[in-house]
Amino acid sequence: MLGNLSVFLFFLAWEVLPRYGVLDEAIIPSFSSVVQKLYVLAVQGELLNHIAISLQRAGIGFLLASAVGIPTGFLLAGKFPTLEKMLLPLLRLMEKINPFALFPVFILLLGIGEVSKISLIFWVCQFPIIFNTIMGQKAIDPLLIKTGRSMGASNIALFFKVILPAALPSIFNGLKFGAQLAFIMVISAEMLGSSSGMGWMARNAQETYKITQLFGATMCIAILGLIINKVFRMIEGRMLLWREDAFEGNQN
Amino acid sequence: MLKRLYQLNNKLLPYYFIILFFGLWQVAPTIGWANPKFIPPLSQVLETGWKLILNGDMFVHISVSLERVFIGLFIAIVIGLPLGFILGGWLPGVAKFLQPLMNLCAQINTMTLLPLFIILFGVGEGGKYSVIFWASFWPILFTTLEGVRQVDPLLIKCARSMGVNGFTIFFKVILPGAALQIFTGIRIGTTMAFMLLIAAEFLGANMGLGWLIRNSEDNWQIPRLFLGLFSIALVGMIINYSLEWLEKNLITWRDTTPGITN
Repeated sequence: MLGNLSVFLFFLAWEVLPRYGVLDEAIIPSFSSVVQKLYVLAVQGELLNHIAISLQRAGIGFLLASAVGIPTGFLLAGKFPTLEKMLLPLLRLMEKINPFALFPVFILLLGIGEVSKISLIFWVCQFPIIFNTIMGQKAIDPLLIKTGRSMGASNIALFFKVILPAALPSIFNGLKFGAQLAFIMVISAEMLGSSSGMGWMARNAQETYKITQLFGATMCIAILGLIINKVFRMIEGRMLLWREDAFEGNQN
Repeated sequence: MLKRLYQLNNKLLPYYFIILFFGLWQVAPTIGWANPKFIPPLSQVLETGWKLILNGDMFVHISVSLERVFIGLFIAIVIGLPLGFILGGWLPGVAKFLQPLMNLCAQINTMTLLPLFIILFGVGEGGKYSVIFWASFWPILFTTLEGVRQVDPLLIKCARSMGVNGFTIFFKVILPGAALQIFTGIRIGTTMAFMLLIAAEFLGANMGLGWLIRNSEDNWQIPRLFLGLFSIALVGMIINYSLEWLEKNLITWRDTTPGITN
């Protein structure tokens, strides 16, 4: 626990310095007052509402991206390799386009509602998921596939018992990245053009100078982000544990 | 003859879809597949761009945006690089102590902090510089730290045994050893900085590429909007390629290609 001492000291400073006037309390409220404000907002129901809205948008976008991205990745890497060689540079180019700059185009084409935000998240998550799925498929030891085929496995069995499990670590890496991106984009999109959600809450607090609420919303968003990261890393850790024993030959 | 054609085809293969994409962008709105009011043809976008270049607006926006990125990046480098060296080389204990806090700070996405920084550092340039600084600082700090840490201690001991003083060790052993990592960090930092720049300009600015898009959206000037998008992508790519070129030409002592490129 000594490792976390610096973090603890940081929060301690956050609590003490504003209280004793070293930091202006109007600009940087003490940690306890921020937590208090969050509690009040939570009890009023507002906080949980916004959290739910944000998570919902991110979740839908992310799930859609996975549902489309993973099969697409497999199809491109497995069935249509020439198409993959041709399409990939274009995809890499599109990945580099700043999503924040792209957002107005989405609003233009799809309106100001939920669809544009979810589409943006869908767009941004596609790239890591597709690229990592392709990478995962390509990295499979061809010996495994040949072995499976020589044992008379059908294509479907081959896919579900050999290809999918072997590519899973890489796919999951893409999913992890995608989830983080989804969360970042939902908050950003809400800051830039929305009237609900955690991102909006933070922006609104900034515009109306509700400092404590601003700190609270920001802290909340940060915590949510950390939780999402942690959850995915935990799942990954569990997955990698039983993966290690099953597939010695796979360099993942 | 046929063989030459095949070779040419293989070389051009990656570019077909890109060309197709731009071709589609031009043709679809013109024929009416896509509503030209929502998706103007490529030629119209380029035309608007040319107009803006001629009346000097383009130059203003690009230079304002680049200035913001570079100032924030510069501060991040000026603080991050020495800090990384000191923490990595001289004070590893302090580095270990601060690691959890630094990890925490770096993990929090910078966009989240944007409204906070605007309040703390002002709606004007202060807020933007601070956000760009924060976004680029952490990759630079971490990679510098890591770069210093992974310098082969044998090399340092070798130099010491030859009676070389501290400064020379730094410039001739540590700096070159960590250079690759540091450059990667600067590249990542620049990418993050540029991303955050656009977002920051969206929220509050009256000039710059991000503002160009926002303003075009507000005034329903669609070709200008796409132009802004196009320019941002172009500028971003130029910056990235420049950095890669710089890296290739400055780090001449690396003889193996790294496996981790993107």
